[in-house]
Amino acid sequence: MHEQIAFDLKKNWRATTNLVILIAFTLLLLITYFSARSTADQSDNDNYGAYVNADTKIQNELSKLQEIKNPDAATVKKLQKRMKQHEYLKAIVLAHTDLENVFTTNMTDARLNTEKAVLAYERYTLREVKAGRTKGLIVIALPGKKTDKTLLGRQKDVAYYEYLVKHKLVEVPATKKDAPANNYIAYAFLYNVSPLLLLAVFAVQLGQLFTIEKRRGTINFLNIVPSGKLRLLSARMVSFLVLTIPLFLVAGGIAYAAAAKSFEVGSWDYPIVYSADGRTVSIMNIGQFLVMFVLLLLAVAVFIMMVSALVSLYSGNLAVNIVASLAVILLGAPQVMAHVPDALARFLPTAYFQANSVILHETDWTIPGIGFGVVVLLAWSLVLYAVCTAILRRRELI
Amino acid sequence: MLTVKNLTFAFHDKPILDNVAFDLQDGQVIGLVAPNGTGKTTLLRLLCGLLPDAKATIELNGVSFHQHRTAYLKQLFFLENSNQLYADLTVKDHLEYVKKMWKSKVDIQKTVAELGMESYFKKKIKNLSLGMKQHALLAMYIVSDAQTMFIDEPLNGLDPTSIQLFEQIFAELKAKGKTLLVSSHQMDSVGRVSDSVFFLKDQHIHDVTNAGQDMMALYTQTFLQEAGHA
Repeated sequence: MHEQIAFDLKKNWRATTNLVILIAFTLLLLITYFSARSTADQSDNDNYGAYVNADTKIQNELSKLQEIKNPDAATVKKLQKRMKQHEYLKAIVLAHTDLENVFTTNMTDARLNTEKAVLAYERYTLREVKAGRTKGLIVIALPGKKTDKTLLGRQKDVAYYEYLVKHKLVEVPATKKDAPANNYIAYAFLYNVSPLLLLAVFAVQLGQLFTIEKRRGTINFLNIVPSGKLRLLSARMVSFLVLTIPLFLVAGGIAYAAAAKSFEVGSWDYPIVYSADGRTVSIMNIGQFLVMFVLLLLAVAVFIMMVSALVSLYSGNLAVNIVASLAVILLGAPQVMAHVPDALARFLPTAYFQANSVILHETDWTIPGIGFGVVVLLAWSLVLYAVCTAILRRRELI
Repeated sequence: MLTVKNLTFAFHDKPILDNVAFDLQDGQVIGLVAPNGTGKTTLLRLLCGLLPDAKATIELNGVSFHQHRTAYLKQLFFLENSNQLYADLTVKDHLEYVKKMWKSKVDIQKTVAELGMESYFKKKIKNLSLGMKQHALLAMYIVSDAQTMFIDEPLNGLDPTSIQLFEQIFAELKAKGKTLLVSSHQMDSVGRVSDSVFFLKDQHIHDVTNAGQDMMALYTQTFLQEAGHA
């Protein structure tokens, strides 16, 4: 089969579509970069605003409580609680103010001090939630981050800041436009570019690869080649993987290099906090996240490849092939998956299309694990491959 | 030897072939002649399985097309026209691919020299003239070393020198024991190279042995006079 693979690669590696696909992947991954180049990063200001807002809410409550003449014991207790929260938040605001201070010589230290102050407050909120004292508890609402007042949410925030402080890592907010390259590329996949969009680009490449022979009329030549037609189809699949995976990785590399050149490199150790079971908190670093994301996305791409291959056996129309793949991809949208019973969802390939949410166990449906997801995707791919095999055995025409 | 029995084919409601049967012996050149749209290319496609026909018996040297398709295809070569070549690949790419897939031992360089293709051997198909593409096609036939070759309109776009060369190649292939079914409108050439001629008319094949008769006159008699009478 390697002769057929070599021939397929020779046919396709210089196709204009490859360049289009590379540009599409690169543009998707560089959206935030271009935005950062054209507008100043506001994440520090946004965070500062979030701390001040939280403190202002508390101060307003404090003022109201202080106006009460002859307060009862409960009011006094409430007042003390608000005072304590205010002290924590004041410490954060003060520490953060150092970032704007022209006399601050070590910005990293100043940022780490802010993190320590935030950690102290997050630990306080965790203690309060554990003790069941959630009424009136103010949680800092950082932009681009879900505000979670649950015990798990508090545990996650504490774990996150503990990790940053312990490893002396400067916080890189999700909204930071000029994030260091390591964070930039991870955040692109985590927050800024939907995996469904990336899959759509794969679908275009697949449509092109699987229909071009029928559109150009060269399919008749392939059909008289004295070789099993499944081999020809399989060789085309290998061509897709050999051509498109490097294109995707090169696009990632370009985005990474652009961010590294313009901003910083950053650390692969930067933490991402998640909970696999909804009870305990775990931490993975962005390096681990990227590896898992790429592997899961490629497993999904293999499944979409099988869909495209199967459709190509019945239609050589490019639009039909792409639309069919896109329709399958859209079945993985959370809005669609929300209608699937939880017990069934885990066994569907579409449950794993939102690779970022799947890895962080943030889907509305239960995910047993990344490995399970890869097995499900590959199992479905095998089923579709078996269908292709049966069709080709029967008609012997690709 | 190619054996064909019970070959019937209709395109939608239009009958093309009706219970066609014939044998092609080894070392024969057979001309396939009919006006455009009669079904010459359809017949060649059917013999390669490019169009579906489950009922016919088609065997090549005892190998059934329906039962052992890959082994059957290994013994034949058919490429409809030069539009089915890959525009972005070179002649060399095509010949190397054919040699590998048909597991042939034919020397590519020797074939290229024989056909005078050295100057464009490494050029992409999209940069070649029709005549050059026809040469590339014929080179693929030779390199495949297939026992049976279906050749559709091979002389289109060729100058008289090339036509002479092609006819010479057909004779050499015949001498090597190859079977050639050559579809053509060039009746003088058909007359020169063919051992017999298949006239495809009214969904049937009329096998005429080439005894040196005027093929153009025969063509006129078979197809044109009747059309004129009608």
